[in-house]
Amino acid sequence: MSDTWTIEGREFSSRLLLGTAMYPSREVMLDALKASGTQVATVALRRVKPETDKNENLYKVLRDAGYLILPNTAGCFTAEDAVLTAQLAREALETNWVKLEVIADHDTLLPDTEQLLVAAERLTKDGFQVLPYTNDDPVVARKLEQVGCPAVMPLAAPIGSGLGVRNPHNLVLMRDTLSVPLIVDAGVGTASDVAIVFELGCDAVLLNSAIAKAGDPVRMARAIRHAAVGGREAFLARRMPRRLYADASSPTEGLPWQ
Amino acid sequence: MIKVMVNGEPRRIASPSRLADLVAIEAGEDSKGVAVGLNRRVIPRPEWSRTRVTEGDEVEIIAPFAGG
Repeated sequence: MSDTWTIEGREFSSRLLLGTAMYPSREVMLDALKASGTQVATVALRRVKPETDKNENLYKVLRDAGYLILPNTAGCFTAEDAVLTAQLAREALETNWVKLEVIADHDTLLPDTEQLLVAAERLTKDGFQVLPYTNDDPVVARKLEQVGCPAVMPLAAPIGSGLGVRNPHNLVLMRDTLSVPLIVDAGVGTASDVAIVFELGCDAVLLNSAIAKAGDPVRMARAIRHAAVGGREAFLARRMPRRLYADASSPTEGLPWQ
Repeated sequence: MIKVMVNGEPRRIASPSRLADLVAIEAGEDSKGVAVGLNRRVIPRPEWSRTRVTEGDEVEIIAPFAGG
């Protein structure tokens, strides 16, 4: 039974998108990516350092392994910087897809949604497929869809916090009001958080720290792969209604001596 | 010689210099996955060999790194 999803006509069978940072080693990173089953790997863009040649290897290694490489604009605090970084990414990686991040401050790393909307609109007009990292705000999400984003990526909790879904109601509202895929980006800490995201009806999860910072990243990648499948299946199966009081499973008729 | 900024560092380079020469020095001959900005404007790869670097230019040479 296939349960695929699409962004702008591109079909994916895995509902996980993975970051490539903070793993104990490159080898563990690649093993974790493989164990997760992801088809998309995110990268940042930084200044080339002549003394190391690791940067290009990363591009080659990810491309040769068959991953769709999704560049981000991490570290940008203004729409102008994010647009320029996206344009550099398009040139470097020959892709018009970008994970758009415009951050408000170093401490919370929360999105500056005003600047985000400006950048999303400009990049969309410039031919980009903009996947915006945004707040769990249904109104901003709707505006991002309206400017032409082919998916919207709200946070579950602040980047790297591992706090899990802080506002499930807003995610459900977004899923109900948007037509484009909803990718939860940032804040999940472990497998159960990922299962919850899918049980709420979200289409995909983009994560990095939850796997990279786990004691055993490859095992956590596998756990999260299972959680994604479990959560998605539970959503499709439609859960039972919640009740205030107990409801006996065994028949109440035919009890002996009564 | 002219003075330019390359990735935020001051450099003295020969005049005339082409952007392609600078990229080869900084990023190596195989520049796959590299992009170049000149004075906050992206210069497409085909233009590197015909773009002159002049006194005071700010050049950014970037590549993909591990990121989330």
